[in-house]
Amino acid sequence: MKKYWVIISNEIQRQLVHRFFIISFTGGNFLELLAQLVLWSAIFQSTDIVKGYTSAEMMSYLVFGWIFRFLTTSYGYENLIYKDIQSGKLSNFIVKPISYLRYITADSIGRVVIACSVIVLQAVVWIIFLHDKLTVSLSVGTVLLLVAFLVLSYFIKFFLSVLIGVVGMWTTEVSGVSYLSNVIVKLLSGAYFPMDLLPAGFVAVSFWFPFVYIFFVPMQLLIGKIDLWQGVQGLGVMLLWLVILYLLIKVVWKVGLKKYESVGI
Amino acid sequence: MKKYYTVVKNELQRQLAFRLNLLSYRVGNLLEIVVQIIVWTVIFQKVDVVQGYARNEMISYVVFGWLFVFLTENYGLENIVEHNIFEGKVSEFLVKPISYLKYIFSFSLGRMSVALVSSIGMMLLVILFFRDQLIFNLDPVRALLLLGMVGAGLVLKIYFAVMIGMIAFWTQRIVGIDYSLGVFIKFFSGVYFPLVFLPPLALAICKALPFMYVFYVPTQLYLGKLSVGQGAWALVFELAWIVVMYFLTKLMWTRGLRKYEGVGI
Repeated sequence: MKKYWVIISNEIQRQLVHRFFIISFTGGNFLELLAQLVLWSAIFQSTDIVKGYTSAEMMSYLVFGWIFRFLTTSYGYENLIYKDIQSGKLSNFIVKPISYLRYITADSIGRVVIACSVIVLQAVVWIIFLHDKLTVSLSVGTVLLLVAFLVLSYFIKFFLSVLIGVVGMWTTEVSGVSYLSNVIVKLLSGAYFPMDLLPAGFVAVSFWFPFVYIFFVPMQLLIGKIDLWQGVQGLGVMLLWLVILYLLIKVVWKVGLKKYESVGI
Repeated sequence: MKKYYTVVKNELQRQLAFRLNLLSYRVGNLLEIVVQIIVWTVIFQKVDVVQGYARNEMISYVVFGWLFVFLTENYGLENIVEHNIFEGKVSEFLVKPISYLKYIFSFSLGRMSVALVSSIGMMLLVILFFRDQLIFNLDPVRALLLLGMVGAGLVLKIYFAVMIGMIAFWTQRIVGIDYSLGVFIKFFSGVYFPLVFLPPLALAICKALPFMYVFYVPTQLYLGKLSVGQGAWALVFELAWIVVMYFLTKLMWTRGLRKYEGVGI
């Protein structure tokens, strides 16, 4: 177990050295949120409610959603895995007594620690500036539930990243699939805008997939559109999905490894 | 004989991977466009006008805007430049009688043409499908001006990409920087929303920058929110910006070369 702690602390140290890397994403992240806020402010000048969302609710959805999203992002991990596979670096792990999957999990946690601090800083600034335009429904229970959602959300997104990166065992090009899956996940998780803006049928379909739980459901909880009990149920379904994805990765990994060894380096 | 079969099979797989990659990009683009259209349709169910934009105008802004994006897109040229620099390939251009800038321009044009066919084909299908919600007003003069703007926009975007890529002279990698600068450029070119949504001060800043000519100005001209006269003046300004960008690029190139030590040959 201690070896994984070493990996985490190594990655944290690496990140501190490369903190410029993290900071360089900051400008883009900030502007993306600003763009959404400008857009919706303009829309709410012409109307008070859009499909049941008041201006304050929509702003909260966007701002807290942004915070939530970036606290749980794995910063394109699928690319790292893909590169490890393509470059043959994976072979190191087949001979060493350390599981590759556990390695990348520990490694990504190290990255997140640094990224989180940057996000939290920005979040504080945003909330101070916009506090009178936001609305939240918080209680001790909600906060605890949200923290749970954060952690599970991170792992689900991470597992998805791994699944896509593993595709690198079958194909030489992963950027298109990575882009497409990002779009689909963002759509089905409500990252672009609240899902219930779309026709009811679409919302129903999205609940078949795990993506709603990584964004939409926790946000609904935060702005008070669902209650605590519904939130807990959501968490339960999320845990189920986590298990499913984990098993899926194990299976795909085994199959992929056979193919990997046959290609050689 | 079997070895040739393997060669053929490999190349076929490579081509298939490439085609699938391209298809993934197109499907992803399509999803993004259709979703934007659906969201705006939902919003306009309740309101008639958002900041001076009626429904069909807004949807046209989205659809024709994307068309302009595809006509001028250079698909991550900044990363090619970045690689040229930190892999040391630019050294070739220090001894050859061929200008790196001219090389990059020709390279980019060749590279874009492959994607152009599929992206324009897809956009034509989108336009056909949504034709009832789009505005079609094109007289020969406007069309000519737009053509000029598209050409100029293409050139401007190449300059932006090259300048971003050249940051690699100083930082070796541009990973987060290209993302943030990319968002910055998209923000100020009106990709996220029509620039009139911004408060007057911000709008004034937009007008002082070259980015709006790449997206916002052509779409405004198309929608008839700019007169032909204003459009002609805008084109003149755009051409002036190309000259400015040319000199800025050359300046950055000379400065960058001084920093460049031929590392990585």
